[in-house]
Parts: sequence; C-alpha cells; structure tokens
Amino acid sequence: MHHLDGSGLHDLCKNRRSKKIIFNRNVCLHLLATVLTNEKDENPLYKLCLRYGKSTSGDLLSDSCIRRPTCRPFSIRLNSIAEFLRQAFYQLQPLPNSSLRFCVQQRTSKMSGAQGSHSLAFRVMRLCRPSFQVDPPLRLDPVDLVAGEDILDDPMAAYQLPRLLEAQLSDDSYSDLSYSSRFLLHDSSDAMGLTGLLVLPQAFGAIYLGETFCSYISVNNSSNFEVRDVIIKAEIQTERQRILLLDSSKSPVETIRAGGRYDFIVEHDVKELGAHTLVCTALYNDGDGERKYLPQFFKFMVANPLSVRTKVRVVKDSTFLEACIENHTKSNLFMDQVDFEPSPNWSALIINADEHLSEHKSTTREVFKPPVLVRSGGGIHNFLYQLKFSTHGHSSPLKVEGSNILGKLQITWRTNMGEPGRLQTQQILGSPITRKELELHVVEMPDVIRLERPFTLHMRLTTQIERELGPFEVWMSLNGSDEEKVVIVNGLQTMVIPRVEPYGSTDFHLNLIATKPGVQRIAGIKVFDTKEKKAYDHPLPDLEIYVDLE
Amino acid sequence: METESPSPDSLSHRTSDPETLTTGIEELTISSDPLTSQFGSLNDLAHELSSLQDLATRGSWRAILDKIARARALSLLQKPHDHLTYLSYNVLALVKMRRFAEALAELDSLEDLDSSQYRYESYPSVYPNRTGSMVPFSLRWLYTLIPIKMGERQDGLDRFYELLDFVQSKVKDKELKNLDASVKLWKKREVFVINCIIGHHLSNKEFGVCLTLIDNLLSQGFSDPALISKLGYIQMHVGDIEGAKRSFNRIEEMVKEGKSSGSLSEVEIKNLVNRNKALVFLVGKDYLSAVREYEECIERDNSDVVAINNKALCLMYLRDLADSIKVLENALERVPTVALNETVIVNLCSMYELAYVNHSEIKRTLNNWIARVAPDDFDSSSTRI
Repeated sequence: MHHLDGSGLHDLCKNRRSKKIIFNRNVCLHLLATVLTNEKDENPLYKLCLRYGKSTSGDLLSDSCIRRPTCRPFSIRLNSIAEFLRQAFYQLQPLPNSSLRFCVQQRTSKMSGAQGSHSLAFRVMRLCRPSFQVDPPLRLDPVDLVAGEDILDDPMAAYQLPRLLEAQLSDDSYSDLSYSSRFLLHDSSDAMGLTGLLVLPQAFGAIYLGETFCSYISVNNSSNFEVRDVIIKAEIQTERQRILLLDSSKSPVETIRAGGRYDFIVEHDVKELGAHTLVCTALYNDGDGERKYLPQFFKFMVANPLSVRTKVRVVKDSTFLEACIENHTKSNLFMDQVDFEPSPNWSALIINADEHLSEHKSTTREVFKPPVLVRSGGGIHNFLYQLKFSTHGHSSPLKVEGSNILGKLQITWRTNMGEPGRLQTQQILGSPITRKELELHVVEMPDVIRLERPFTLHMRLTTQIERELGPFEVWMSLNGSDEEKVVIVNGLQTMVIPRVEPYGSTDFHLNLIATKPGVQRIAGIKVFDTKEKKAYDHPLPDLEIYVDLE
Repeated sequence: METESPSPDSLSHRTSDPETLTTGIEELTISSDPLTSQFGSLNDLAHELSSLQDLATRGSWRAILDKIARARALSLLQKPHDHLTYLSYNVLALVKMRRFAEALAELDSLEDLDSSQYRYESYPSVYPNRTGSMVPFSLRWLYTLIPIKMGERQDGLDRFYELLDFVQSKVKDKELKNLDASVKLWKKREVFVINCIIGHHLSNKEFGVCLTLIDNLLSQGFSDPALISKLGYIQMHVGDIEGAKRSFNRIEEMVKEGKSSGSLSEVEIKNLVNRNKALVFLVGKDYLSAVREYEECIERDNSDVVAINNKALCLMYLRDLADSIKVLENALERVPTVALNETVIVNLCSMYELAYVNHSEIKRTLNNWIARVAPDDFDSSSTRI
C-alpha cells in the first residue's frame, strides 16, 4: 500500500476481477479517500481483500496481484485514473502493516499530464541479501520405488539387486540430457531441499531501525530515442530530514540509448522510525531536445525491531543488571553481540549460564555451537551483567554527585545471510546510590562458632561524612522483632566507642554467644551517637552464621 | 582428474556386462536356482519397468500416468508386486503433477500397508523362500508427504516422525536377524527420513530443531561433507556467520585429510569447497571474490547450476544486471536439463522485471520456451506471468 503509485495500483488494475471496481473514476476517488483513513472496516480495499480471500490489503496489492496467473495487461484507459490516484496519494499517510514485493515503478510515459510523456522511468528493487532456497524435493532412492521395502532380506536379492540398480538407476548413469536430478537423490542430505541455490528477495519485506536499506535503481529509457545529459538524484526523506544518497549533477550521464538503462545501487543506514520516502529524480533532454524533470517516490515504513527491558538489583557490593530483549521482527534474530558499555565509574562483566550440554558430544561441539536465536514475533532472551562500582584512588571519598548512570547496551544482531542490524539503548539508570553516613562492617569472624561458647566479631565503624561523629554507644536491641534472639551479646550489654574523624574509622570487638545450633542470624545491632543524640538503626546488614554443636 | 579416470571405466564395466559378473559366481553357488534371471535387468523387477523409469528420468509424468492406466486396463500386471510398483509410480507422478487429491485416493485404495496381502510369504508359489513386505518404501514416504503438500503441515510432520519410528524399529529388527544388506538399506532410509524432517522444519523456519537434528546425525557418524555444508548453510541463514565458517573449515580439513567424501565425486567436493568459500565472501559483501570462486567451479564443471545461479546473483549485487541475465540465459540455453529449475527461473524473472519495461513480453517468451522443454512437473508459476 505504500506504493499505490507503482506496482500496487498498477497490479490492482491488472487484476481482472477488481478491474470493474477500479474502472469507475468515482469509485477510485472513494477508494482513495477511504483507503487512507486507516479504518479497516470502511476500507473498500480491505473488503475487496476479504472477498478474494486475502487477509490484508497489503497482500492483495502485492503478491497475489503479481502472482495471480489470471492477470491481464494493464489497460491504457486506466492510466489517467492511476496517475490521479498516484499524485493524490503522496499527500496522505500509508496504511500500516503492509508489505510490498517490489516497489517497481511502472513506466510513466503517457501518464504524466503536466509534464507530457516521459522517456525515462525508474525501476526500483529493494536489495536485501539473497536467501537460500528451501524446498524439500520429490526425489528418492530408486530402490524405494522399484522394489518391495524388505526385498533385501532375500539373500539373492541382497546380492544382485544393489548391483543392478547401481548400474542402471543411479543418477550417475544418466546423461545430462535427462531430468533425473529432479527425481533421483544424489546424496541423502539432498532430501532436505537445501541445495545452496540463492534466490533474490521476493518481497520488499519489513525494514527495521538499525538495519541498512539497500536498493537497486534502474533508469529505463522506454522511448525510441536516446536521451542526453541525464542528472540523477536519489534521496531519502523522513519527517525530520533529507539525506542525499546519489547526485550525478557534477558528472551527468551523457546518454541513455533507446531501450537502454542506467543502473545504480544506493545504501542508507536506517536511524529513524516511521515513514521514509525514497525520492528518485531525473533531469534530462529527451529526443526532441526538451529538458524534462521526472520525480518518482517510493515509500516505506521503518519499524522497531526489538524492545529492551532492564531490571537493576543491588546485592551486597555488586549491582546486577538484567536485560530482557524482545524480538518484534518477523524473523529470528541471531544475537551477535549484546555488550554492556559501563559508564566511567563502573565495570561490567557478563554472566553466562553454565554450559549444561553433555560432554559426550565434544567431537561435534567444536564444529557446532548452538547459536543464541531470539524467536520471531515476541521471542525473548535475557542477559545478565554484574556491575562493580570502581573507585578511582584508594582513599577518595565515596561520594557520587547525583549520578546513577550505569551505562548503555550495544546490541548487534544478524538475520538472513548475516544481514546486520545495530542498536544502542539509552543510558540505563541504577537505583540511586545513597551512601550512609555511618556503616559497620565485619572485618573478621571465627571460622567455627560453637553452641553456647562465646566468640568475638572484629568490627569496623566507618563514617562517610565531612565532620567528626561520636562518641557512640553500641548495643544489640532485643525488641522490635518477633523472632527470638539466638545470638546475643556476652558480657557488657552496651559498648562505648570514641569519636571518629571525618571519613574515618575505628575498630572494636563485639563478644557474642549463640544459644541455638544451625544457621542463625545476627541482627539488631544499634549505634547511638551520644553527642548528636542520633540513633543508627541498621548500620550492619544482617549477617548469617553457622552454629556448630560441638 | 587423474584419480577420476578409473571410475567411468568401472561404471561402463558395470553397465555393459552385469550378467557376466553375476552369472560367473552364480554358477558356483545358486546356478540351479530358476530365479537367477529375476535381477538381470530392470524389466525382471516389474512389467516394463525400464520404460517407466526412462519416462520418469525424462520428466514425462503424464506419459507415465497414461502407461499405467493402459497397463491396468489391459490387465498386463501379473504379479502382486507389479501392482504395487505401478501404484508407486502412479502416486509419485500424481504428486509431481500436484494432483494431490487423486494421489491420496490412489494411496487410500491400498488400505493397510502392513496387511498380509502385501507380504511375499502370502504368495509362496510366486515368491518361494521370500518373506517380508513388498510395499515399496516410497509409498510410505508419499503417504507422509501428501498432507504437507496439501497444507496440513502438522499432520504431515506427525506422520514423518511416525515414519522415523517405523524405520528405526525396522533397523533394530534387521540387526537382530543379522540381515546386513537390509540393515544398511534401512539405515540409509533413516537418514533420508531425518533429512526430510529437517527440510520441513526448515521451510517453517524452525531452525533450532534443524540444528539439533543435524547435530545428532553428525554425532552418529554421518559426517559427510554434503551434510556439514548444509549445517553451514543453515548457520549462515540464521546469521551465525562464524558458525558457518567453522563448518566450512571442517569440510576443508576432511578433504585435506583425505577422508571419505560420502557420495560426492572429486569434482563435486572441490566445487563444494569453492562454493562454500564464495558464500563466505558473499556474506562479507565481497561479491567480486565470490564471482571468482564460482567461476572456478564452472570451469571445473560447466553444469554446476548452483555456482551459475549464485554467480548471476553476485553480478547483480555488483550492479551488473545485464551480465547477470546473460549468465542465466546462457546456462538455460547450454545445459537446459540441469539449469531449468524453478529457482533459476524465479531469479531470472526478477531480473527481467527490474531490467525491462516490457518484461511481460520477455517473460512470456521465456514461458513458451519452458513449455516446450520443461519436464511435466515443472512449476510454471515461477515466471509470475
């Protein structure tokens, strides 16, 4: 539908069954008006499609028209309607979700009212990479056709039949003049139907952000005279900008003979979403020496290939970034690289799941590694990165001025025959880093902790503030939690700790005793600044220990 | 080429006097057996089989249908297995001609393929000392294939997996009975069925299962270059270029080490290596180098249609539409029986559509030519007229 100008309308008109609908100029106008409202129900084209068993109007205008064997040559009388529609069409929005086979522009000579007839016409084909032809063939081993399946159980047959077949039926025994290769297998893997034959792209297909748009453009001279001094330009227009892809104004094509062609290939890295128009123009002297200007337009939509959802979790001193990549394209994506580029304060490490495929296949492993393929139309794949905050210099204050940017993801993928695509996410933000004024750490604890035997924790109190704090009192609160306290302070219930310098620290020992065996939690350690009368409730993250019986 | 020379020799040897070869030994062992002649020629296998086979290789599927109808009408088919052989050709011809409903009806007329009426031992006077099923294996294969051709893909795939089960149980059965020749044949069928399954998954873009199935085949020791190449193509198809290169390198190593090249001749394996190299150039957008590799293949074997077709495409990506058309047209003219396939025609017509304003006329000319030379099963929709 992006190309109601070219093959779309042309082929619609070619279609005999729809001809009577198109034939009426009024219906055409109505068609034009409603086609472009994007309302499926009100869209006569859509109804037409339903009537002929096609699901979307895009399909009708592309594949089925071109392939339908009943198509008849385009009636000249329809040209004026086509041109009318064509001109009006560009001012309006295209239908979504449509695809075109080729956006081959048909000849426009005799079509253009204002310009008079044109000798030249552009023909355009999107040149994505070719694909392998896959078609499991109707080829077989002759023995499976000429004899019973258990015939070789018979010793005499086992002895004689293979010989007879090899001599008379193997595909080698036929000359080039037979079609035996369409009927007999050469190698058993031929049954797969993957011959290695490449086939040109058969549809315009979908194009996505991060891919490269490549197009073969051919300027045909369909007149009986040669044209001269041809200046050709090709550019991409988006809502935001115009990008010149080709400009021959400095060295015009001297001449294109009658029936001749001038071909070129343009490429453009797609960096914008939405409507794009490839505009091809030719300025030339026709057979009469008249200077003529031929513009032609080819529209296409650029869609988003994938979405990235991220989740950030902080576990102890590590930050984990989980990225979920969802494939919105119509093909499987081979994830080439999904790299996290950390911002300067961070370092990143990708974490891969263990290779859980069994070892006994090690002989084939070296050749074949299962690739990371994200299924088309909504398949997802998760990536996990471990990020570490890297401090520059040892004693520098751990102060981060408001910045919690972790970095961004660089995603490169490949599709058919390695066609590449590349996207970068926006900056991914971490949870805001709030450094506590005061923290407690365990510097050392005993290897073995036994039931009802006192043990000592070597602790360090650190301040991260530009002034002196303290003196402090440290104790273990017994209330506030439903669970019974198993690890309790042994001896003095409240310790006193002297003042601490700005950004300083002091060490102390805490005597504890455990009253139950097993995995137990040390919780509820409180620090109180006696000068500022300020309590710090959770200076130490909860700590688990294992209490041994004896 | 030096090492190639013995093979045509031995081939002609085989074709010229298979009887002397066999009868020489027969005299010692089973010379008194009246059934010696039953494997002397194709016509000993079934009524006028040789001419059926000849028509099939020429793609004259309509003539096959006629011949079978005549043979049936005139009651020329005497033995039970004659009927089954003819029915196999008939179903194959109908499927080739895309007359699936008729093919299905023909198959259905057999009812149960495992019925005792299709076993040699049920006719001891016709087949003394012979046991087992006389159903040609192709009938089971066609039975699984027809639903897929008729658009009932899931049903067809289920049947394919059932067929695989059946074949694998046959392999076990024959192994138990030490029937070496049968074991070999059924194992070959197993690989064939797996390859068919891979192909149908591949058509539906189910790459994961294809890669796993190929991996299984390779780890079972079926590592011939043709199969590894296909692994490479699939890897390349999904975008795993490095994986494809590893697969292609492995083939080159196998060739260097002089390992068995499976069913491929020396020329074929050399061309395979060149074509794989060309693909690596092609995905790297180095079309010139790819063209050079393909030309090396065509030099070696001027009917290497894959090299010809792919070379033409490379020329097009090099902006040389005129030459790409020429390459395909020349091939069709020079070696029509090899070059005339649907993919080549689809490509040529795409090129025509881009190159010529009057492409409908040109395509119609091509279509007329195809109608004259193509086999009956040629899909004429490939010209998109």
